[in-house]
Amino acid sequence: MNTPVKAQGSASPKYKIRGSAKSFGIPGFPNAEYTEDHLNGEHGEMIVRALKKKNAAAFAKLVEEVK
Amino acid sequence: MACSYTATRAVLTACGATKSGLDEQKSWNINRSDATFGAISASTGISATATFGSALLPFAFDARGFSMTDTMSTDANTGAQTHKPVISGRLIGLNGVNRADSEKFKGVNIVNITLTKGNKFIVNGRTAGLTLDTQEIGSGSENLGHLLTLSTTEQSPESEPYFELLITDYATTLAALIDAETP
Repeated sequence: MNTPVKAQGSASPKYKIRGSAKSFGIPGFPNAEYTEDHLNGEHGEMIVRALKKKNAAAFAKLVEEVK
Repeated sequence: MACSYTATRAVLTACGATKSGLDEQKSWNINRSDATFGAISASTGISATATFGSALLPFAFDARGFSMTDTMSTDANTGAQTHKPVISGRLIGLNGVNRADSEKFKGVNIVNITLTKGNKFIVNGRTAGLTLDTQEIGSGSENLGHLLTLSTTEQSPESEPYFELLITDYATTLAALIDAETP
């Protein structure tokens, strides 16, 4: 299995998983596990958009947006 | 150790058997002219990129009768080998919404992306496109609703079989498709 590519040259990560979990699943995305590499990687903005679109409330509980 | 599939057919021992069947809740359609896929690897059968010029239309069928087949045939005269994928799905119930949804397939040439229960995104219709081939509407308990079959026409078969779409990994591909859905 491929692993998500971290964004090249990006500064600090924009998204952090709350608590100590390394990954999370979310309703509406069966069998999918998302890591901080997913959220801050090459396709991060697209993934975040999809997660918020499908389940914004759950996303906000699971992920912290770093200002 | 978590089960994960390699890019080829070999699986890790922790995986067990691959589940058969399709996920009837995860099927998307788009006009063929609006979908562009990256080159398909000759060794893995995977395309790693997709661009959609319009929104993907998500379509949830009933679990009963949702299936896909692909029949390859060889033209006796020319020797050309072509494929005829057939996707069958049932919209349970007779009602206005099912009528409206089934009408959406008429007169369009589409690409279908469907998730298997083995977490693979299977794409059909890339080269010629699928159209609404047959629609059987019934009121009996055994055939209640609309049974649709999407397939190629005799004049315009697919020149290749299905392929797998995998953008980085399963989770990223799923997010990409949901992001591209109609709002």
